[in-house]
Amino acid sequence: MSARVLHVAVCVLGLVFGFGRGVAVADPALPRVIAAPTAWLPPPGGLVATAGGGVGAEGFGEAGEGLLAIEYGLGALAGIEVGVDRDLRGCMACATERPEGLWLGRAAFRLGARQDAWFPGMPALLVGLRTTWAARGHAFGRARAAELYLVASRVLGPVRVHAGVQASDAEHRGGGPEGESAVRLGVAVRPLAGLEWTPRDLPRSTLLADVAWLPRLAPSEIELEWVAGLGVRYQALSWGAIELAVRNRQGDGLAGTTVMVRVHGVWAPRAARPRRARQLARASEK
Amino acid sequence: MTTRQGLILATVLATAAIARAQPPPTDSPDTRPLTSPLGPPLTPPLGPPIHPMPPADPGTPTEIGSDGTDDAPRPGSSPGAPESPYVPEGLPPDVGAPTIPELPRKKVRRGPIDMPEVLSTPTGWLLPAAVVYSRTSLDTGGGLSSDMRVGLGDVAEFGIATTDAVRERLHDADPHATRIQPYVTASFRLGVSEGLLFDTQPGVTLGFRKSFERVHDGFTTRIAELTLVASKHIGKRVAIHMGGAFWDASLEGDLDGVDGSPRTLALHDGLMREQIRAFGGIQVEPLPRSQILVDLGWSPEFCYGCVRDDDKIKLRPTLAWGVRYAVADFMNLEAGVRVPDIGDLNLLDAQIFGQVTFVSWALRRAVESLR
Repeated sequence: MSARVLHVAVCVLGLVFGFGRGVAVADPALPRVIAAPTAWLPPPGGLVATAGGGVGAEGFGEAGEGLLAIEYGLGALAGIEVGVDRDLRGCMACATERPEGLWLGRAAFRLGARQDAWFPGMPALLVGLRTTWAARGHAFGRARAAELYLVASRVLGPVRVHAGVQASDAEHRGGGPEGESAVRLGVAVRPLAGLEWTPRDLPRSTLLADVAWLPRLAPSEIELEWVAGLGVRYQALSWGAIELAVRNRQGDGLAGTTVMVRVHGVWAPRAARPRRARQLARASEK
Repeated sequence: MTTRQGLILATVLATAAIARAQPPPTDSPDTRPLTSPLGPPLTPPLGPPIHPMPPADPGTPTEIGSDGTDDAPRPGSSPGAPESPYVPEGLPPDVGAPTIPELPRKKVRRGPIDMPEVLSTPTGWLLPAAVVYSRTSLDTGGGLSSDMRVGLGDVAEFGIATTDAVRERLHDADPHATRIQPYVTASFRLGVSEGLLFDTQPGVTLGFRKSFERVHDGFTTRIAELTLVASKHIGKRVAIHMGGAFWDASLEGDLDGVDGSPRTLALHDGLMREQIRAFGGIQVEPLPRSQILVDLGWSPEFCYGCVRDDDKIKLRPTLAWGVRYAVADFMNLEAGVRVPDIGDLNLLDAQIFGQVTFVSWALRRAVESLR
């Protein structure tokens, strides 16, 4: 155990000193492409909110999507997000019925360094943990899911590229009495990827594509399924955007694709806005 | 008896003689008029220039004690008259006005302080005198804790807290430890602040924390912790904390599950090395008002139905890492990840927490105003 503790301590210290070396500002702010997380952080003291829903083959009720989340920026270093979503799915009789989305309360803590913070050309780097704080209203008792991810993001001209790795785990008790043996996934590592492209002629529009992995719950097992998304985000306001996307999951076929609409809002305090940040930096240099 | 009276008389006489030998009392330096042999008034270190107050002319009664026969115009009653009888003509009235010298008032320091906790472990820094600190924390595991402390004379602090760190398990095969909360504790810490004795001296505190008895599921538990911790700034942006803890805990109830007779078991019944643990933390401030914090501590875990007595009370290593963001001088927002048992390394048990801390100097200012 002591070797494991030492290993964890060394990794954590490396991250602390790494992320503490410097911070730039004016990166994008949205924490996810469609499902895949990005390495962008909210502005210091600012808020990033996302709300949306989607319909599947049977409408919103079963296979539909849903997301409501708000993230607060902790001093240009980190962000904490609280919300609910239907990213995880479950089915009691998976051979005969389609999995349905499960409403889960989710929270995330993300600690990162912005682009060019350590050296020119460095991508934004972020380590995040997302876990469950509530699971009610469905057959999977005490369902829990957690994802620990490391992701890098970089703006390359009109393109923003995201790539990372994610360790996922999930568990449920199958709706049985308290103390019944749990069904657990175990830690599984999968890649993450995302792409955003803003054409030069359409500076307010961004084409989105990503792939991520999410747990699917069944009474006797839990397995990871890939989720691929494709969409368009339109920056309608300086602080707000609307997004239309489609999402397809492993085993659903084309007919099981869901269509989603999301809105995003980013609010930054005056001191965190880029121009103000530059003024503050100049003042501190003097 | 006679000898004693003689000694008393001699002491009194000697004291009187010493007192008579002293020079007569004069004005204190603060109230004495500051004059220069070259003429212009001197400026005291604090406050406006003070002009010498001329001695009162016996033939010119002043306002106080005047017999009312004074026909001279009162200050301000005539445009040609000076504002004050002590102001030489030609000087602005506010410059020459008699000033009652004020003793310099000690300014109460305000603003951010060195915090008494990293995220979950104590630091070697104490709260300044009469400064009140509070912390309220919430996490995704349903844990709720709070802490309220007050600094005592720059050398100690006292606090009452509820912690969600104490956990319980039902038996050996129970994979999920659940919290016992609220678990109320009282703490007292004393120590010396950083750099007080010599420049490179770390802040050192000796702390004692003890819980009230907690009855849960028919079992009564208590915990106590004695800590010695040192904290040191390394440069302007980094500080480290290292310490040792001496733990004790007790568990009372039907521990054998056979005849229902209660039995008490304590951590100190076993080996002493099971009570001693090292803990520590580090904080880095890469940006003004933003800190990255990591700490490693220990939390007690009770297992009521475990077969072996050694397994009934265990100390579990707890890792927490996160960020502290100073929203204002008096308020910090902290968030991060806490792993209740890193020996287990269960990703699902990792909790995300958010907490808010307040630091108030109001009591300190109130105390200072009474002096």
